Amino acid sequence: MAFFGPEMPLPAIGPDTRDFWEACREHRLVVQRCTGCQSFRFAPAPVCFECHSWDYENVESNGVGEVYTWTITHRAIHPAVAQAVPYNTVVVRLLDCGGAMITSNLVGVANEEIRPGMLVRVEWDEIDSDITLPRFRPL
Amino acid sequence: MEWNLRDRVAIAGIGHTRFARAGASGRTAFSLAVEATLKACEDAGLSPKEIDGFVTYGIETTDPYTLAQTLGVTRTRFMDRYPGGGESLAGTIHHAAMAIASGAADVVVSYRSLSGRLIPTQAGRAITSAERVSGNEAFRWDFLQPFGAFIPNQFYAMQARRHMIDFGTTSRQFGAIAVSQNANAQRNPNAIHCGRPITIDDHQNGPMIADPYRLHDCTQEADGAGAVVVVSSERARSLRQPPVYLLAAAEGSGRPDQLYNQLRHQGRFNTAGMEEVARDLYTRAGIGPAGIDVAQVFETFTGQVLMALEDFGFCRRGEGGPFVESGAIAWPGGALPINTAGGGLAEGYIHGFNNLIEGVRQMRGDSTCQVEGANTCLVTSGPSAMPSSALILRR
Repeated sequence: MAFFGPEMPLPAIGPDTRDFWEACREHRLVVQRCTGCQSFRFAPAPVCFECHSWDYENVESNGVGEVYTWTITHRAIHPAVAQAVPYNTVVVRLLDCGGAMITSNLVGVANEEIRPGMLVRVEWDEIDSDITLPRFRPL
Repeated sequence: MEWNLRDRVAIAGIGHTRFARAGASGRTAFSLAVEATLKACEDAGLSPKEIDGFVTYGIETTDPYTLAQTLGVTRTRFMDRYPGGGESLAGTIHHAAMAIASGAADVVVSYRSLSGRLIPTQAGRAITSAERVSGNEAFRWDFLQPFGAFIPNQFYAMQARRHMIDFGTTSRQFGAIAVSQNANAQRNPNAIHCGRPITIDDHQNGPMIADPYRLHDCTQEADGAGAVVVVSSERARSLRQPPVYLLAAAEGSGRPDQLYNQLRHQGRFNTAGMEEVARDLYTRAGIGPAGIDVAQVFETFTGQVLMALEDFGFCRRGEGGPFVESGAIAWPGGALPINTAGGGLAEGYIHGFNNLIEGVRQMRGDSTCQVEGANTCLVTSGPSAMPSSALILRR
């Protein structure tokens, strides 16, 4: 069953984020690494925050991270979340890629079971022909 | 160049409307803004037509120039509309001070008005116009909303959760803040929660909104408006109210960290993002946290108050929980009474503006929970969303 309803807002693909979402369609979680100074950055941005280089590569993560923080939303603040309430939103800190922190949802675990530091692995939720979203499942 | 605005300006007039639950006033925010400004001028003993500068902030719907025209002002010299949300509250007074001290303007009004619910149930419209303007929209649309994170309640909840993970802070400690402020509101007839006392059990039994935040952890949108008149200190001394001087003000940001308005979120979730502002503020004031007699701490949510108290050095990082449970923030008798009119949690949430007005009242000796002998009052702006601001008032 879909995590959220069909009217859930989806990302808009633009020039600054196209690489990321195309990689998601291929079931690859990528994080930008600056060619100039090797700093990782997330979310995708056109320029390096540290050295201002415009050159980067998309480094594929092995998709494993730990739960850094989360919330459980109990109110249907948007019609598309009504079916999911109460639902979790988590921030996952990847074990690689400079510890990039990605906001997502956990699947396969009850809300009450979520713990800080839980190890989780990415899995892929194909929404439509353009968008596949990363979600995470406890190891 | 050295910051040079200490004691240069004072708040000479305050005005506000009745506060009502969101949508209950039956009035436009514009009408409320006009009322608050007229009252502030009357309090100062100045004609509205003497105002030559208008400053507001956040998602204010009353445009400063429209307000000026409506008041019959025929000559304006300074306008400012500070970006962000409540983070700019103190920043507006700082900007008024810059305008006056530089000679750009003589009489500056800072104001804020609200009417009706800001965040409709359609959370797809939850990104407000100010945040759209500040350029953070794409990050939120693409990397937060698809995962169910739409509104500040949720982002701030995740930050509070990190504080609980790092330091063992508890929901009951958040509740201590809610109960303390609610108690203050019982003495304030204009507080929305006057006559609606709560206990810690009420707090703990309240419905969960976004874990760990329950009903009583959250500010309540209100209909209302406030305005203050800022003039030079010399001018203020010639007017009818005791001047309330701007001892110091500071604004800005540190390393990017907060979740919902930053492109890169790193590891400072467990603060209110105001350490750098606090440092500047105390340096400019020439006093430290021990020199603050009372504080109006912008809430948005209880956990953010707790983290702001740590940022401003009233206790060590991570010790906010025990600090707020200790009675230190209570009135009367606490070492640092906070939000003495009830604040955004219990008086009404006019995006912090009522906290500023209460700060002025404390310095005039007019508060419904007056701190005996208070000479200084800290007023902080929106937490956990940079850039933010803060100021210290003095008698």
